[in-house]
Amino acid sequence: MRVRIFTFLLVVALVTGLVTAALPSGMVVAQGITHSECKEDLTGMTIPFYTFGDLSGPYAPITQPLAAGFSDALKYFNGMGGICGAQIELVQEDSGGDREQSLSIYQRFSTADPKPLLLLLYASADSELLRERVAEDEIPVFLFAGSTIGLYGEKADTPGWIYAGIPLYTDQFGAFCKWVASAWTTDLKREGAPVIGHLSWEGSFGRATETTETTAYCKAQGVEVVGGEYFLPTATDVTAQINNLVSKGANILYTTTLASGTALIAKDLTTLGLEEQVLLAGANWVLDSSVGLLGQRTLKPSGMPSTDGVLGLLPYTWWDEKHPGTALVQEQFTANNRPPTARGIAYLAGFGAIDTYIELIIQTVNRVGKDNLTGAEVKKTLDGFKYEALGGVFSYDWTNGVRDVRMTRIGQLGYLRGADGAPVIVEVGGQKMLVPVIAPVTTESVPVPDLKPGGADVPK
Amino acid sequence: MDFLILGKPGYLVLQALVTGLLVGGVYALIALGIVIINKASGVFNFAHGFMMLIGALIFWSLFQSTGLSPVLVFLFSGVVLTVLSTGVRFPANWKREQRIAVIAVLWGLTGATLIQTDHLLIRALVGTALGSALMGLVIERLTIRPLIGQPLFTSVMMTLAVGQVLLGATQLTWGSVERGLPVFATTNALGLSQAFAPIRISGVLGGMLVIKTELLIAFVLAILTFVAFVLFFNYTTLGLSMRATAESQDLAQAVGLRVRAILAVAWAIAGVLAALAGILHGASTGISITMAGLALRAFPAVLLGGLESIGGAVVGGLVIGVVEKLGTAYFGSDVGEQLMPFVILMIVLIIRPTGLFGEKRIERI
Repeated sequence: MRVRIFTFLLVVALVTGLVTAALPSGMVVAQGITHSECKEDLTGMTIPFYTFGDLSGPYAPITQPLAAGFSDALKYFNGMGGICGAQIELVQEDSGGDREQSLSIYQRFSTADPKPLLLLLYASADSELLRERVAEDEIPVFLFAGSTIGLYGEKADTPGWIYAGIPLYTDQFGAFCKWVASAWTTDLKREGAPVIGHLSWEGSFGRATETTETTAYCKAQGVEVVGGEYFLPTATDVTAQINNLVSKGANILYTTTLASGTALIAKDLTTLGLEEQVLLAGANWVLDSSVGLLGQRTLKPSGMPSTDGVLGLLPYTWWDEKHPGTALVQEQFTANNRPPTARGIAYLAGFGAIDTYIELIIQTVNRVGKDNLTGAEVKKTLDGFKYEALGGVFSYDWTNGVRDVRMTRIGQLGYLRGADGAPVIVEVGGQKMLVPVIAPVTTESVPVPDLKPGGADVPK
Repeated sequence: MDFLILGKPGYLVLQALVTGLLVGGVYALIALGIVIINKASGVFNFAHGFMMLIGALIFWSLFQSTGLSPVLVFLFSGVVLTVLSTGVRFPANWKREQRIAVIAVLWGLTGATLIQTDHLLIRALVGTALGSALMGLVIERLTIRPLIGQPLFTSVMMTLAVGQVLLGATQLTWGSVERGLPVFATTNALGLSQAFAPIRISGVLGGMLVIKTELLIAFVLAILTFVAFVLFFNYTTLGLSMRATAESQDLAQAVGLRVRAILAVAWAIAGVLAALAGILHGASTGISITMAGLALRAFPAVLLGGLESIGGAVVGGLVIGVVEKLGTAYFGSDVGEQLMPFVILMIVLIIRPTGLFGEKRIERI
């Protein structure tokens, strides 16, 4: 009898052990999303999440959905227990894209008691402006932009306190050059050699891509870069800029703009009748629903919108891909009655940022205890941080002095088509429209080249 | 063989020239609104760009096929018409009942136009005209009129503050998401709104000239508006009164002109002009919060033409547009768009400090 009982208990213990081992370690907060197990209970605490940026200036169209993503994510994750029982509180301010405002808000945030454990920013210009200050104040920054100066300094040799959620814009461009060189005659079925002209917004963000390093790297890949033209976000027309680049031989326009900026270039390419002759591509922001929605008023001779077929970098999983993380975000998006115009990268990034913040604080508390939770300790965690945010929608690995994302795919903007191949038309607010979709062109993520000044992949 | 103009293919130079003229039309319209205010009150209106944004968003809201609450519509149109009617000089022999009857008929017609959803363009135009005029009146009444008698600089600073308030109101009401404005559009075979096709003329100076239809419409409307204002200021009682008020408020008051009402009308007109410029710009690129910054591009046009000159605003707008595009064609966008408009402005101001058409004032001591 004792033997039977012992055997039974042994079997139960074995089965339980096997089941436990099969499950991911840590605390499952939703299907596919796992946070580290909490070693301390933080119930009763409130942990602020600080962020500021341009909510009312040129970047507002994309940052407003970001704020919606923060808000919905906080509601969801706080409902799931927050950070080991602590509730997360959003502290958000609007800089209007103004440098003085950014400094003033930062001053207020950095002197708050207690000091921010992490600050989320989403403008290259802000990261460059505050790079030295955040290091002095020991406030790590999670940045949703790809400025080399912001992350690595003027000489690109000093990884600082800022960690990016996307690849550097220079490296994105390099990855595009490498891909387009290999796909030019095969996948893209083009003749001759690829020749790129930069056409971007004026400012730190727009000008981040055109550097001597990227030009040299692209040349080494067999892609000539003929220079750049820039325009203000208020521009009504960029035909003169396009004509300049095309007359220099450009058959690809690469843009570091977003929303209306990309849509304006696509529109003017079609207006000039160059939509077949010249490809339009850009940094990760061009692959966004905002571009797809704004670009549909001008149709190509094929009957599809001017933005159909825009190529770009896709360093994360997109809404339309089957994934438990995007499924969760879609569920919350619907539950919070967000408008279709907000279903873009900004909302997704906002949601992912909160998930990342939770994991970061849990790991830090587990390491140093809740009483020693400081920005400096959070930075130590960041320096060894590897995390699949939203179960792998975003992949971060900031170990070994890396401050940005080093993997990407190439993606393409298109429009939803029915089983018969015809574009699907929906009616939103009384207006008929096509549904923008973004799909990966390359299935596997590939490493981006290191094109910082003095970077490993810069041709000697 | 290519036809070259100063080393550039002729058709590209012509393309830049034509596009510059058309883009300049929008600048001219913006400049016109700023000049009207300055002419009437001496105030340089820094809120003009934000008035454009609100005007365009009112138009966008009314251009959607969603129905509006009849109660709100009649309340709104009643308030606007009542306010506007206080500035109208009815014929002296009209009795009070006749005046009320006219306003009541206008109220009914306006209300009916705003409620219907069959003719969205008419609804949007009427609603935007009323809404933007009301916006101008409210700004004048609440922020500018209380500053009469104070240094002019105070009023100018007030317009900066008004701009920020309008921006906040915009965000609270409409948010910051960019919106397409499918006016100047047709419906394609799929039932989707589609912008008018551009006009393409081949075989011009060795290439093809492309004219954007929406820019052409904006240009034509800007010129028509200019002509309308020239006629208004030269041949209507109100226009002549406004000119007299601009010349000297004290003298105008001494001869019995209602100076305050005239200032209010100037702001209402500027509100409508701002809305028109906002709609034309929005039709071309969509409505985004950055639209307010477009007014900054028109400032050189205002200064170039002369702060008080209606004709100068138009010429200034067109010159700046052409300089931008030709400069970009020859020297790239850095020089063309960022530098050249301001260099031209500086040169003109050094030679003619009052601008091309500004009035030279002689102070007699």
